[in-house]
Amino acid sequence: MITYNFMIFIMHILTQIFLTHLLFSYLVSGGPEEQQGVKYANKCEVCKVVATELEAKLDETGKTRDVLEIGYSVDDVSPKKKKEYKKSELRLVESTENLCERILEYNIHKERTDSTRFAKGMSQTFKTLHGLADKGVKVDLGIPYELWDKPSVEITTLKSQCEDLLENHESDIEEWYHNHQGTIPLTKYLCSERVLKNDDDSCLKEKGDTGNEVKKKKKKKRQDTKIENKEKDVKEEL
Amino acid sequence: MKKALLLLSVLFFVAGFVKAENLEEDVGTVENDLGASREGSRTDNEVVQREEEAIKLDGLNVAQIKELREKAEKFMFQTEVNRIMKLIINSLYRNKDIFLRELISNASDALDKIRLLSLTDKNVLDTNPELAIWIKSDKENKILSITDSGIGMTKNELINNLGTIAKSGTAEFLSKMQDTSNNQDLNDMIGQFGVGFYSAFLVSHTVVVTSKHNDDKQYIWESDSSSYSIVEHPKGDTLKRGTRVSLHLKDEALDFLEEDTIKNLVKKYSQFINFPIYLWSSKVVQVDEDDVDENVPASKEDESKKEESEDKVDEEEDAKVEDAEEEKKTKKVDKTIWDWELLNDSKPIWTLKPSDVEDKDYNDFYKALTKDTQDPLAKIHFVAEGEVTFKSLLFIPKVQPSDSFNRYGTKADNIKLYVRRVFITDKFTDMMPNYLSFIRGIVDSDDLPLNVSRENLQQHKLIKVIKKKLIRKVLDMIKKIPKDDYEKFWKEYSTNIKLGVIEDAQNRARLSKLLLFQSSIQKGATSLSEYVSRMKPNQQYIYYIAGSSEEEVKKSPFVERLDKKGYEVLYLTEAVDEYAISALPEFDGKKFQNVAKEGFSLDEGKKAKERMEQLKTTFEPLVKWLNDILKDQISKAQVSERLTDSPCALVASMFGWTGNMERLAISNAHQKTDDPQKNYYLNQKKTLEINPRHPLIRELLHRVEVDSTDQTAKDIALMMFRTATLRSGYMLRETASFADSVEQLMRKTLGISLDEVPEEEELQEEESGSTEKQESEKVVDIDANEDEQDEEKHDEL
Repeated sequence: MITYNFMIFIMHILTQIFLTHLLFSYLVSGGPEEQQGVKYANKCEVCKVVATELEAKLDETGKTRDVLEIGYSVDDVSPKKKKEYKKSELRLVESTENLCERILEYNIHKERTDSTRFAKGMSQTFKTLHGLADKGVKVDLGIPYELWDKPSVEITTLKSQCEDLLENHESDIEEWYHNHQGTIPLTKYLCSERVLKNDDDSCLKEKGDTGNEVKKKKKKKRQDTKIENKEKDVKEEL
Repeated sequence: MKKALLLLSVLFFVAGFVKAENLEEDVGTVENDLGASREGSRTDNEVVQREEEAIKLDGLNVAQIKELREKAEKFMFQTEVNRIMKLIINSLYRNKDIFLRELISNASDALDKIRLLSLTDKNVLDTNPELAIWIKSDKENKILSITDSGIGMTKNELINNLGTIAKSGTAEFLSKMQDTSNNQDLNDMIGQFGVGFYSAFLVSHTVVVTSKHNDDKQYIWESDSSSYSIVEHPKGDTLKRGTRVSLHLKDEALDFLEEDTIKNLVKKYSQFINFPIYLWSSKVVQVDEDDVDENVPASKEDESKKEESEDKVDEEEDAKVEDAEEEKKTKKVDKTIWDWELLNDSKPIWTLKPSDVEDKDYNDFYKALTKDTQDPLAKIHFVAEGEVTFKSLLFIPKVQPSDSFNRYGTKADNIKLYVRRVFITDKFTDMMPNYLSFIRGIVDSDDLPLNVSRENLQQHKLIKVIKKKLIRKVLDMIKKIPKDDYEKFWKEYSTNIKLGVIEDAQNRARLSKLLLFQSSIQKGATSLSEYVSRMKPNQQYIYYIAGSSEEEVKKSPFVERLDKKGYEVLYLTEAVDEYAISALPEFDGKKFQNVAKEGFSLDEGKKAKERMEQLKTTFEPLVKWLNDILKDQISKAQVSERLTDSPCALVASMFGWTGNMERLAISNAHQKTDDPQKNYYLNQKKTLEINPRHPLIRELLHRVEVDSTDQTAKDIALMMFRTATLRSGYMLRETASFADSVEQLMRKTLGISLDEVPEEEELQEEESGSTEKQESEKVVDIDANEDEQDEEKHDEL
């Protein structure tokens, strides 16, 4: 009975978590996956994305002028401590929790090769494919249509990489948050000076877009129809 | 009639008690020399005598008692209550003494409730500002009473709380109770289900509950365990607020009237109750003879029975007299003094410095908190500072309930939340993540507002900060469990930790350090860091294989070569393992490699690589041929780097599902019937890897090189694909045709001709024979077809 219930429960986990994204993140890396057209984010790219996202989230949470009332005393008579939310630990906690979920809004833009291949919004490639499919063109990517827009393995891996970075460099981020926020950019403090110490940090300077610059994409449109991913050979049958 | 007398005696007891309380403030200085332990609860001999008087039946005559009895409304217990009472009485007769624990615990809950209410409405305490529990034994009448100044019960609540069991868990409780053979379990359970009250009948033939709620009059509830009655209290609100449970003890339970017995029980079960528990007890002290004389004048006793206001005046006079006479100090005499004695130290243990608390106290506190009978496996006691300051004391129980995973995610938090020492709630669902719901303990913060409802508190943002810190501390505590105990911990909670790896991305790396797995090299489980420390210098990956049992994975073709070369492989044999590992991107900079998947290669230097290239060239014709004839079954064929003994194996693509994963996905009971994602993964073709050193493969290569249309070779290739499917842990789709081919092999081995058909069963002509006939014809048809095929094969052989 217990085993049975346990199985059900495990299965539950399966449907809930696994089917949604872990499926795509079978995590093998280093080299063999590149033969399959999969190129994971490198250290620099991960840090860049994390720093960008965290600063964006802090921008959102930093707008409020709320004051936290804390430090009640036992008899409720002595004055309360007050803390500006903007400077509070709570803001950092709220900004980092679920931060990496935002990575799932990213897509891999295979038409680019540098760090800007990780960007929000649908890649030009997939826009084109969707356009074709909408027009009634039969497009066979080797995966069911329902799965087209699910995050790819690079993205789900990027999400775990993001989580790892947050966990392993938590104290650095806290230090920056409390003492250097506003004076040193996070990309410099966290990435160049710490995560990528003695490593290549050139990707930080690559000025790609993060999903809003449409102009650049248009130029590349011709290239886009070429799809690098071997698995995703596009067969157009008109 | 006897009952009526008892009932009344209780009433007067009540009345006397109230008087005593009123007097307390005004009573004189008799005990000035009694020491600190008795401070704050002063009384004198007069009070004692008055109490005794009050218990007796003055005031009401027989007719009045009768009238009261007749006025009482009679009720029957709900069927479930009867069953629960019977069960408790029949199964716990050896543990009778728990009744006191349960009643004190109920009293404490009632006090918690009124204290919580008072946070938002100070006036609720006006009826009686003192929050405490009083225990009194009346040997003469064989009554033990437990009184609290808690929230009390209205008439309806008396009916609902004591006459019915509305809680949804009742059925569950009953079935559990009947299942459990162990009285200890039962003992632990009754408190948790809120049916502890009925344990009163373990020791009493009649139970009388007097209760006063701020919103209602005072009522008396009385029961002999078969039915009960409720009547308004004739003397009005003598309790002011709260509940008194008076137990009319059975003769065999009279020991519970003894002071020492009660003291020991309170110490054993209730020492961590956060309200003072008083026992009405006697003490022999030496006092001045004059005082004695002054204090027991019979005439004063008579007066004191009259009106309270008069009493007060008397007492004041007494006090003056005593003060004046104290200086004389003529002669000391022994004298018995009755007084409320404090039994527990209600200072919460978590407010003490950890260095000042003995392990034994922690363990006792844990037992009192959880009603567990064993010591905890581990504990942590800390003060978190920073934006939110809080104290916390957390425990890991030795065992978690066996059904805890059925309730997984329904969030029964076991953390009690206090704000400034005031108990707020233990229904808080957001203190611990699901996977840590086994943690028991308390959190007490000064930084949360008191004047908010539980619902608001739930959403209070600072809870997030507390939660984050709590998780860290719990993981710290787990990490620090010594090795021997850790094995116990792992046995009990391994699934929780693995689920944590999946669910709690923010602490994944920390959790991964807690993981243990079986391994191909070691006896017993190994941690990932131990694995990494044993890795070969050229080894880049942490190898693992997942399957349903250790036997299965040990014999898997995928580990053959790794074993031979001395690489360590982790065996993942629990259902949750493969998911958990999949959620880990890497450990200590090392990535994971599922040996049943593509992307596997052993880096063994240049020479090995050259040899491999050579083999690939040699076997290219066979690979090509296999790709062709098995194109419906496999995605591709290739020469394997991982096989030594098996001829071939089926390998999942890098992002596909292994056999273990397919097995789990298919047997999932909670799933959509036609999930495109699942179907996609299940229908992904696998890679067939062949072992270039295996004689079967070599022979096949030979045959194919000679004649690529060789039918036997084709059959064998198909057969090999199917056995590889099974060996590699996958489920076979076409079991029937596989069985057919195996049967053919059996015929060959046994030398039976393939043409020989099974004897035909004599058809029994019955009325419903027509359909049967059709079926049997079909069977014959299939047989015939197969025979034809067989003949073909035969020819070619």
